[in-house]
Amino acid sequence: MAADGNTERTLSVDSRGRLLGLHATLFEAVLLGATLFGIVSLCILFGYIAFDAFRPLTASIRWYLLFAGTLVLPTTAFTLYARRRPAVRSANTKAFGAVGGALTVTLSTYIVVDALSPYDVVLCLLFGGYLPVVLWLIVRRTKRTPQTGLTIILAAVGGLAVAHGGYDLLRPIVGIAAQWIAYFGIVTLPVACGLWIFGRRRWSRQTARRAALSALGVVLLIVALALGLGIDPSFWVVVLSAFVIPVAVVIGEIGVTDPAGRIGSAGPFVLVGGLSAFLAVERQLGIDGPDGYLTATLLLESWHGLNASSAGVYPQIVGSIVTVGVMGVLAFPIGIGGALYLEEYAPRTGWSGRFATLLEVNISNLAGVPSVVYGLLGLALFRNALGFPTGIVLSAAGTLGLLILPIVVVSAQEALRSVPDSLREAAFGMGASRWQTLRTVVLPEAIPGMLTGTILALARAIGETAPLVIIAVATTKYSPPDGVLSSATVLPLQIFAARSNVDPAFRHGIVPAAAVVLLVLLLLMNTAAIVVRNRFDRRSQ
Amino acid sequence: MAHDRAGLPSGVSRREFLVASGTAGILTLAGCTADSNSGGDTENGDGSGTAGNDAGDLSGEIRISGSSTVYPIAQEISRQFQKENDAVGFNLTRDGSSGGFENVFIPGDSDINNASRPIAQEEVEQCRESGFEPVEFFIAQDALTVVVNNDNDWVESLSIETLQKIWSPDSAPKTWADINEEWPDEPFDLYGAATTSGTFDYFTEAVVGEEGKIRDDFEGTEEDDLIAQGVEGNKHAMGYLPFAYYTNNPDSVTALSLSDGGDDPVEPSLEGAQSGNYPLARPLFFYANASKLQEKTHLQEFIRYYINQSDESFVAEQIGYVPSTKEMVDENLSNLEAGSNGEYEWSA
Repeated sequence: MAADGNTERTLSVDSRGRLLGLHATLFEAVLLGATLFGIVSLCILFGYIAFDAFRPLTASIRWYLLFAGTLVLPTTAFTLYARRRPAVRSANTKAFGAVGGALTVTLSTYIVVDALSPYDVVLCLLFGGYLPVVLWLIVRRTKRTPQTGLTIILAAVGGLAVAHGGYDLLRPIVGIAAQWIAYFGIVTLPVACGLWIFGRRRWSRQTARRAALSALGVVLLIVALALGLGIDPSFWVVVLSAFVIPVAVVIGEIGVTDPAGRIGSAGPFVLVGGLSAFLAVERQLGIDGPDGYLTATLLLESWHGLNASSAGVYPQIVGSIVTVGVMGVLAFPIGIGGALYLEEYAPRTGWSGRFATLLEVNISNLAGVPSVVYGLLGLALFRNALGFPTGIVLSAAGTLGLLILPIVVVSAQEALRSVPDSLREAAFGMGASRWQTLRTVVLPEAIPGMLTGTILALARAIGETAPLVIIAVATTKYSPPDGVLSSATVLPLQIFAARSNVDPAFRHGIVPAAAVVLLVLLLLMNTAAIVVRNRFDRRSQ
Repeated sequence: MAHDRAGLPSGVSRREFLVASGTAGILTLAGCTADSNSGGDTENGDGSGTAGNDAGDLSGEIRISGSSTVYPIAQEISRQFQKENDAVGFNLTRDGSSGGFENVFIPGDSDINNASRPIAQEEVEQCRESGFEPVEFFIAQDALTVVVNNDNDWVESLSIETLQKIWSPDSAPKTWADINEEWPDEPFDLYGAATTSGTFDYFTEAVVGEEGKIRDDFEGTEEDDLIAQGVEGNKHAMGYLPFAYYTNNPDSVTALSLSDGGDDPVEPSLEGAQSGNYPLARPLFFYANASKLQEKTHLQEFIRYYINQSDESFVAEQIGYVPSTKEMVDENLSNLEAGSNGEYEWSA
């Protein structure tokens, strides 16, 4: 301490030192200013958008009191309580993760499958999913060779080809079944299988089997109930299988295995309970909420060009999700494959090594090419060379796929590069081949980074407008896309079109509200990226 | 490969499980076919109930491209049509009249192209080269509105001749005082439609006197509200807009009355546009691809619906254009008949 005080005094006496100190302080202040400038101006912008979308000033004081009393206070109190206790906090995080993740999966599955027709999806799944798995198990059982991975890929491709070739014959057969049966096949069976596999690892084999069978039983029971009441059970099958069952399993497990943090799993229910209480009281007392534009109509209806209060963007939201999903399916295998080759296999010396370096440099440059240029590329490739009709999902997804491909490659390369070489060398030293090293050592280490990079690339693609304008994707459509060859529209394009509506209610109401929807979609994706990364990180430790 | 062997027992029961669940699935499938039949019946019942009122079960896609001025009409009518025929899918883009013709309609991608000006002779020839005839439908009129800043206190009306002087590249006055010495000695700030827009073609033709001829220091955009914002932001600015934009945003800018020749200045209004008193009344069109018209019954039905709706009052009250007159409806319907039978031929 004494020594410190001494140095400080000597420095403060020295005028040069004082000047240096001033420089340092000034420099720090400039850095702080730069940081704050960006953040504050973004906050103001988002605040402005949110203000237009929600119009908070139109709500009464009573509404705010009710909102605070039923939602904000209990949730805040619970969060504060949970924060003090590590066990409760971790259970709370887990429960929220389960509820949020399951909700996202449930809604997006239902929306996408509903748009694409559940029969088509179940047909693909039957031939491209279930059949290969069964085949794989049979091969694995009879041949006892380690080369079973190839079987599943070949069987999936073959199965899909059969489904495609025999579509006209098979589709009517599948179409005989009620819609909920298709949803049962798409959601419930995989969830039950997943539960069973998960259960075998966590609990006893018997419990796992019982859990999976009872999940199936519960879903069938609810179906019977709904049919008895004359309700279409499709939606409830999805909700029950993809939301209620996984959430119940996660929360039940917390309850059994973690007595200290048990109370933390109540977190989401405090929120949901508060929300329902809020809605019930609001309706009961007839309290006027804010007269904003972010309403159920906006989320669930289709577009209306004259009346802002009945305009909706449901087809646009579905279009965005479907397009980005197809894009991911197209771009990720290619991008990750390219990164794996460049990082793990590509020669480092000689002419071929130079070629690989050239490729790498070019890919890095491509990541910075403006999106309009990719639009032109998409137009030339899909419209002019391949002759696709304009504005279909496949060409939109392909164009966006080309756009994010370099980003995927670069981020996957970074992830692979962050795996220390010592791990690879150790694996080689144990006599593992390159493929074995890759599969068992490098990939498990690199997957979190790869996934983060790719999901962030998805988030970039969902907001793209310029390339889609170039390939003439529709700005307005009244129904969601029903396949990869059908035309679709995406949210950013509708926002762009609505901005020039003659009615100011669109420009200052619907546009910000739709922008908020887009931002929420984006945030959900980023959250998913973080959750996935954390999950894999924990597993690899 | 100890790994695989260790995993083997699990494989056995996994298979058992899959077989069991597969059997269970098939059984439930078989057991529920009866339910599904009844479900299917009710669905069909609903379907025929909603679509039964007019032409029956129409289905297919209709692609509409072109002018952003006509877009609101096309959007509203397609929305109404889609409500009644939910198997018909619409796909609307805003490319500007020329942009739509060139990039989408002439290559044969779109069924209908909106245009805020008549189709040009060379565009017709390009259509014929790619194998179809464009069928013309004149569906509404717009009063192109010349606007100035709200603080502009020196001008209330202009003659077309003065407008021509302001916008023509030959005179291209720098300041307001160059036109009239009593006006302020401040530079013009001009906003107008982009060159891909039919509004641009119409304005240059009607005001400057030659299509595409205009001074090159104005700001051109496809977005009406950018024009309004530009004019709103500068006291010495001037621009032109569709009347619909002006009526929906009357406070942001001030419209000028216009006079032609020695006549009295006329305020922009739908009545003025309809009667022909207002000098900048312009026709709005859409063009259909005749070979697609012959192929697609749902396209014929949509255009019939479109024509029959285009003289309704909502076109004026809600969208802000002059609706079709009875004569225009009849003319359009006969064009539709001729186009659907393959007998239509475009003539200027």
